[in-house]
Amino acid sequence: MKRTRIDFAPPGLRRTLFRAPPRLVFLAPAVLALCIPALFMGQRYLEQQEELRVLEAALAARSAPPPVAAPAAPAVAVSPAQAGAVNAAILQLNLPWRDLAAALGDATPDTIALLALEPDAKRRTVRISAEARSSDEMLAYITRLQAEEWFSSVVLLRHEVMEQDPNRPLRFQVSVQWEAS
Amino acid sequence: MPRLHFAPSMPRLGQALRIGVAANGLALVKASRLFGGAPLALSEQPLDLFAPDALAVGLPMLFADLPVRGWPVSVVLADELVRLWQVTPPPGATRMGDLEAAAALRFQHLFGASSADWKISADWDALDPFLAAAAPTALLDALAAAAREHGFHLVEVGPQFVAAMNAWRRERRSGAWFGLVHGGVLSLAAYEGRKLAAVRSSPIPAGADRDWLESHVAREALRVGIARPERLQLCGAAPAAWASSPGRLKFACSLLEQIDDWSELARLARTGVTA
Repeated sequence: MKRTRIDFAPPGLRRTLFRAPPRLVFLAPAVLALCIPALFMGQRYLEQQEELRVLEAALAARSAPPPVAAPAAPAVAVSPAQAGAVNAAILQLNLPWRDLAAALGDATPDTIALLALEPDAKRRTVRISAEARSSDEMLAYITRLQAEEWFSSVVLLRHEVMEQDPNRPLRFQVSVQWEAS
Repeated sequence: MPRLHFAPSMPRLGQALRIGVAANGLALVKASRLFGGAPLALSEQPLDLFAPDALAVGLPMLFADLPVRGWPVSVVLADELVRLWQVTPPPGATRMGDLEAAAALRFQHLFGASSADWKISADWDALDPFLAAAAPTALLDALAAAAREHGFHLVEVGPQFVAAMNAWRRERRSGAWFGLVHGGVLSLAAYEGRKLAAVRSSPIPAGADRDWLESHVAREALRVGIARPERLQLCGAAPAAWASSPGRLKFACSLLEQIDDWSELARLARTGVTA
């Protein structure tokens, strides 16, 4: 005959466990015994998964196209003389012409006639050839050049009176060094 | 009854306590569900259950110094405290509510009172007649409060007759009537084939013999309107003379239990433990 299920006890976990057939307890060792191999199999499965992941990564790395190596720049032998020339040319090209011209324009009065400008980028100097009517004007001009902030030193190299010229102008050369910017 | 040794403070695997609750007292029994150990009567406490706070006072006296905290406890309610009846499910019942309403209506019809103060539990069946039981809500609440106070787990609360039916369900034969003898009362579950037809209780008069039993069964069969059974299976403290004696058999009567020296209260608590 089937069980008559009449029970006034409040429902709960303990009641459910109590109602379970007591013989189920004898199944517990069997369930545990099944769990142990399952545990090992689960662990093996995880290890195999990890191994598979590593293999897949290796395979992917192997089958991927080799990375494009940048072509090596051809080695060009440059002699010291050539290098010096190139550097000198670059320095010349990098000459601050605009600043130099502006500074000279500011410092040169109408009474001074500029004849030649010979910049030397390596030494950061410029040789100025000019003419003045008198030595006072020349000295005044040199003083004005010295007052310019852009120039660090102003040196009078030589001066002479041009006798063959009827106006007898005073021709002189000044070497000016500018500040490294 | 002398107090017996109760060493383990923690419940062992498969062991449980059983409390028998009757109108005149309480009893505590330890039983093993798992390894087939014999039940052990621990203590008894006579009291008047209808006195106010009877359980709140009686249970601590029943437990005394027994450590019941954490134990699963089954409570067996004496049949005089509960009401048992048979419910025929309404035709076309589709929901649980239909069955509950049918049980409540039948309760009101049989006992003439509303089921408001009673908690109904039944072996619900939408097709065949089923057994329903009602227990006083106040008694169930008092038991739940005691469980909280003493820290034990109420895992089963049921009538003694239902506990006996379940305990002997493997020995019961289809079509046989089932009876419980306890406290001078014979409770009978009348079956028609496999279907439960009625549950009836009646006091056993002094000196009742096999003839009384046969006439009683015949009377009950007439009252319920079914044929007399071919077999009656009785448990509890049934007189040995009721067992079938060859020669004058109207129906076979088998006694599932023998009378032993257990007290009535302890037998109540023990009901439901299969030997």
